[in-house]
Amino acid sequence: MNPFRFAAPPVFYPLAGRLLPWFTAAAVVLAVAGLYVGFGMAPTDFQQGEVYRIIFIHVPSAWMAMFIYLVMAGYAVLTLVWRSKLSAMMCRALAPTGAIMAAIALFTGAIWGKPTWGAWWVWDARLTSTLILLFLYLGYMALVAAIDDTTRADRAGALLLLVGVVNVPIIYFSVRWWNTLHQGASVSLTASPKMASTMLSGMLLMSLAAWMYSIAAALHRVRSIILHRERHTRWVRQLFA
Amino acid sequence: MLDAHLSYLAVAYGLTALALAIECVVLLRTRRQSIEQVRRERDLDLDDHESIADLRNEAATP
Repeated sequence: MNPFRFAAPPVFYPLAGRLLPWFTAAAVVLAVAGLYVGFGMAPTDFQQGEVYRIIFIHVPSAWMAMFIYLVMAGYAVLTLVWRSKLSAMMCRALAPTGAIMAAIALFTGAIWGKPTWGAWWVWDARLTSTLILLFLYLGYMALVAAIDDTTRADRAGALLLLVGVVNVPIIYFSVRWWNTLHQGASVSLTASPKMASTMLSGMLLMSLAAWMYSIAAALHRVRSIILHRERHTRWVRQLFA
Repeated sequence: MLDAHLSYLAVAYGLTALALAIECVVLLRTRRQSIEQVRRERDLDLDDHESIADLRNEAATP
């Protein structure tokens, strides 16, 4: 079986439609489980009290904001090198969800910062680079919306995505490279976690929920984009015959 | 202290739920608009084809 056949909109559109309910259901189930573990089982933090429970939305949204941008950059490469139509559509489908995840990470961080740091915002390397990530998402969406020619818009957007991808490692390593107010990584692949196992479980469940939600949202949006772009084709007209 | 913490939690979770709810509503609306656009343009094309067929029929009628 040739996996590249899924890059064809007439093949991908029904596949996305079949996958969509499963990802949506997984997002709901994982979010309910994550919130139950996070609020019902995880203990109160001995330093921060109850307010640390913002971690269950703050960290997953921050991870997703970075990861979605990396995925978009991967699709941007496919758009520029192979001129794949679906890759450009996936970039457009992922951008609003990535922007929302970045915005959630920023405002939940601000709400968490006030009681713990005493400030809503500081021009810290982690916070500033995450704000730049949000601006990159917004800039990408504005750029592709501003150019009428779809192919040119896709290519210009892909270039912007590739230039901006340098910001992702800056966000990730900012807490190591600079002396920042933001705490270092609590979870790492190379070291044992610095939090209670129930806290970690709740955070990982919520992270999986954020993954499932983002995939579901992107699939839903890309189906609308495919319909819009392919509306003059025979296969789309036959769908609604 | 606890009340203040719960207020921060409520605002954080409330705003997150609101942001995701807005995204879901926009997603559903965009999908509906895309489907309507496909149907509308298809119907317009069908009307055009029927008009052309009518004209041809009229022209062919002696």
